[in-house]
Amino acid sequence: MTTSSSVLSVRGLRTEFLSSEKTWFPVVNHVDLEVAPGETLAVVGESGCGKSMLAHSVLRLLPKKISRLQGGEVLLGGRDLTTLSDEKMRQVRGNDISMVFQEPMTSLNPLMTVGNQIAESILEHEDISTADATRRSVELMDLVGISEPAVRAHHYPFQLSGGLRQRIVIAIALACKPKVLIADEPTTALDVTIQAQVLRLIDDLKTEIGMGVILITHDLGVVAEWAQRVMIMYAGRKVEEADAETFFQGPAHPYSQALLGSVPRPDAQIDSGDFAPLVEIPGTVPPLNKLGPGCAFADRCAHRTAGCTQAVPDFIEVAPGRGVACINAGDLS
Amino acid sequence: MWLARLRYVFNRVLHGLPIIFAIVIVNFFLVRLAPGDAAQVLAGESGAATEEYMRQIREQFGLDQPLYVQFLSYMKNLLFFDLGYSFRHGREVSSLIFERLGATALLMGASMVLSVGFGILLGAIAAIKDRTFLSNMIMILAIVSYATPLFWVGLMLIIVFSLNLGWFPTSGIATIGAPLGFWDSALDVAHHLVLPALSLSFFYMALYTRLMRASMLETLGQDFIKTAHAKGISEGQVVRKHALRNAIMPVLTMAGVQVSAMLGGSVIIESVFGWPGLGLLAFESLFARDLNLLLGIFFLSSILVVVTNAIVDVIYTIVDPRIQLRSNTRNG
Amino acid sequence: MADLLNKNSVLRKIVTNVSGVISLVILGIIVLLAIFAPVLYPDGPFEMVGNPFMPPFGEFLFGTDMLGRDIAAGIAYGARISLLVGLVATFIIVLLGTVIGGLAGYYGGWVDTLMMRVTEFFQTIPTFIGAIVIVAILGPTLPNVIGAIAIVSWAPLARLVRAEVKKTVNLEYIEACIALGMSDIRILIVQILPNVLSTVVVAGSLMVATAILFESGLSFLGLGDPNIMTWGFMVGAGRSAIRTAWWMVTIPGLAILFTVLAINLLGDAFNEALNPRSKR
Repeated sequence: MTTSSSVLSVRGLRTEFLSSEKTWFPVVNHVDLEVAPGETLAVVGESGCGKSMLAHSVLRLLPKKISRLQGGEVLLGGRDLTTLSDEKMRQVRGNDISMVFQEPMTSLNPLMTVGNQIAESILEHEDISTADATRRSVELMDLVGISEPAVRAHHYPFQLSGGLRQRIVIAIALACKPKVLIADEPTTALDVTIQAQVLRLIDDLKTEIGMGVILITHDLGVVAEWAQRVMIMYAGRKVEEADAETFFQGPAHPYSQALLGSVPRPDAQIDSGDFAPLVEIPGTVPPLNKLGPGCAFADRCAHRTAGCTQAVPDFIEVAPGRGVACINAGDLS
Repeated sequence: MWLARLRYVFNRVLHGLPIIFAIVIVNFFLVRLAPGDAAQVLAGESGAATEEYMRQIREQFGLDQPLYVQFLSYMKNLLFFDLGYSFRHGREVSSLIFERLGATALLMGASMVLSVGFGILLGAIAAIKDRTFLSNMIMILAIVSYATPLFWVGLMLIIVFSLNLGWFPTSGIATIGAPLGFWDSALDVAHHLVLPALSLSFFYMALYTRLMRASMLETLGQDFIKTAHAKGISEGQVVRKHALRNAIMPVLTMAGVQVSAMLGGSVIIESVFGWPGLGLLAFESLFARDLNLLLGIFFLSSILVVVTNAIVDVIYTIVDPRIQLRSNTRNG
Repeated sequence: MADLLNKNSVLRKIVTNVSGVISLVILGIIVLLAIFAPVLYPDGPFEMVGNPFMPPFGEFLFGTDMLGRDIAAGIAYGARISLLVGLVATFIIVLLGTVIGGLAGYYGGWVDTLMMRVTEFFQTIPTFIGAIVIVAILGPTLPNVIGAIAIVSWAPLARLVRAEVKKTVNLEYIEACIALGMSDIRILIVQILPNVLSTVVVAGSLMVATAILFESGLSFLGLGDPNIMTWGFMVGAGRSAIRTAWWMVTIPGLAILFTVLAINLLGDAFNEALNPRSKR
């Protein structure tokens, strides 16, 4: 993936949090990523791996008192977002880059009609009359597949189902035709059937508007179906990156392999030979403020060698958009 | 929409009726619980009341009749707001009470606005500026106010602002004998109102400040605030349009609950400042041992609470769309 | 429950909390004052010891009132009444609130409906005026004052306990107890009570403060026992001399303020020690 075609480039991003012992520790550690227009990049990992922190860092939505950016750049349309003033950053948010959150049930203001919540974003970023903004918000509701949008615009969130609310959240995010949409586990809280509808919607709109999508998820089934490229995160670091096809054919990092091993393969046939039993990854993600000197995954890794605990493995890029951070990666396939 | 709201209000009032009925029953039996002759208790002075008055009381309360007859006639009287006669004042209890209602309503209203307004403001500031010097100062003020007896606040304000600085009058609702026009007399009443209203609102302001801070902190941590930030609207707008309105809800609920407590507080504040409302009337009836009057005040103030609660419910339906519409769907 | 039994742990948490320490020190002084009042002032609070209207920090620490009574003695004896009223009223309130809230929450159905209706009634009536009416009719004695405070104050606690019990009753192990054929009383006392205890302790400790404020209000209005010296009565009596003798109303008021403040802070410290998740 070349830089020139990217709509968003993140380079060497490092975000730190303040621990209860008043020391700073990284939650996002030297992460690079590129997203092209019309492309979906899936960021995958278990909970606590830093994928959500990455998204919040890009939008600069983390609370200032307990978090700080320690290096790296976030390039969007030729501007480095990390150097913008708060006021300038505010104008970027919801306008050039938007975010959809996990919980549709709580992501909307319960005391404001959904139409007004969509219009609010348009009014903020565009020089437009209230009447026009209202009209636009109804159009947006239509765009995200809500029937009777003119009526529903006057409804409050509690009157809508979870699926509809998530469509509203998406409508808010798309209100100003952003260049990049970050969807943070957008379907985790929804029913399976609604999940597919919402992801289909994001995918359609992506092509229509030509925006780049960062899809944060822990569900590899979702990745296989909707993403063009995959980035695996562990303990705040990028451990593997590949296009989706390559990734599912042969994940290089032991963590990726374990993740793939721990989901039922949709294409697996019980009577055919390629059925792999479900493997559970032993242990959990280590607390980020208590990391040792070596590879963070070493404790849970089936392929651990003596070198693993010596130093954090570098992320080795073998081709543009293809790389892995594991000293044994070469021997594993 | 307004029809649904009206129906909701009607339901709430209906809900209050059994409570009013229960208050009637309690009032009725309280007098009979008192040691000695009920007529004497009601007359307010053991043996000193005139024979005629005693007979009048016995007749009014039907004390010579069987209990259920007594109760029925008592109920009938109350239905027509006949609360009996105050020997001390030589007047109908109901007319005495209604005459004093306005002053209490004014005091309560002013204190309510002050305490809720400042409580919301201070609580919100304390939450937004959490863990700063300003926030700590606000919370210390709230903790101290929360521990201060109402009457003492009143007396301290009198010592400082009336006796030493001479800024405000020490007591009463208006300057006696000053012939004034409408605006001048309104200003005069407002001048008299300042200290009593401040004193009464002090404690409740502390309560609402603490509640508002907790509620605001919780609201600020919610997902829809993050959504609002992600929209790119300014910090001030996030607070005003999204956080404040949601955070106010528990404070409004609490303010409704506290109306009844505030009425109790007004007895103390009115007797400290000689504010001629229901509370002062209660205080005076205590001293005169005019129990019939006291019971009348108790009865009416209970009704006042039921009515105020209904009003607060209505306000709630306006501020929170969820409630009104829920009741709407419930009623078909 | 484990927290509560392990007194060291709760105590340590309170002692490591700054406001917890301050409140313990203030309360300690007031308790000592209450205990040693007859030793410090053997003549009692009504004895005229000197000239009336003597300002504080002179011959007498807190000065004298309009009858020449030592205000410091009044403060010491008043401490006994305040603490007594606070503790006894709270005990009755906790008893009433726990029993009524517990039964309503445990049995549900019509028991719940009935008891909640009664609770609602007591939450609606203006409590202070209700207490005034009770004391005025039954007579101003200390037991009547305590009883009146308790009668009008138990309702919020009952509601709180009911909610907690309802939460606990639905837990699986309670269902297991029912399945094992344990009697209701046994389940309530052995299984459910310990779960609501920390809620009751926190609410109860704040209740002591409220009861003291309540009592001071009643005796300020002259509804206290005339044979007993209380802080509220001292402020009420000092009112008539407010133009000349500020200390008569100021000092007893400060005593109430400090006592209530200390108990509230201790209650908050209790809350933080017992329910750490509520800490911000």
